Amino acid sequence: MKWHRGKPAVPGPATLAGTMVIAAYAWWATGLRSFTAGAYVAVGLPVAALVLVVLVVRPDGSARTESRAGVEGSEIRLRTTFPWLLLLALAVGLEAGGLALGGRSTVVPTLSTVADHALAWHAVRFVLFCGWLAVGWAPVLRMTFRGNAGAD
Amino acid sequence: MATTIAWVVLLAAGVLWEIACHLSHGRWTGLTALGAVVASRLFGTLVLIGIWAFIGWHLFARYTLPG
Repeated sequence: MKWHRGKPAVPGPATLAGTMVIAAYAWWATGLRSFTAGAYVAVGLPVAALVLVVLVVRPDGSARTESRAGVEGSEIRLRTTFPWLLLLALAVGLEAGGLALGGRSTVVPTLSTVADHALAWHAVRFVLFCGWLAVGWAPVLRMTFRGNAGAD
Repeated sequence: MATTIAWVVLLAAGVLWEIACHLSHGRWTGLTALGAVVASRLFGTLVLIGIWAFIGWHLFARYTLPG
């Protein structure tokens, strides 16, 4: 896929085909029964592939350095991150309360119990799986494309 | 029910705050920026992949359908 400043990126046939393959994989992976070897492997394959890409291909080290410099330039301090700490503290408090009540309480459910209700639907599992893949792979793909663009 | 709503509100607040951080042009630090700092070293990248893998297995291989 080519990126042009000011123009929306038009996905090519390879991108569309890749998207279809990933969607088909996500649908298959989220249709497997939980706690089975197949389910563990279906989640493990994208993880293994990502580790392989990071260790072997090493997408664009210059982009890493650049992103570190950019973020350090904007100064990460307690003052700029305290809303996240507040949200984290609230989440830990709710989770601890749920776990203290046995973990499967309907009054104070843990995050896992709430997620399990949503995960009862295959379509929800599929959407979440696609989102999970995107969160893991997007930074690496971005670095790879940026590295290729820089090499042109 | 109230706690379920609290979880949904917390998650929504996280998403909205991340968007606000992006729009603040560096005044506030988003999770993306924090992740970029951690991922700027190989060990940090592997730690983030480990957390990502744990979430994946926990959600998609170890979920329990409510009965």
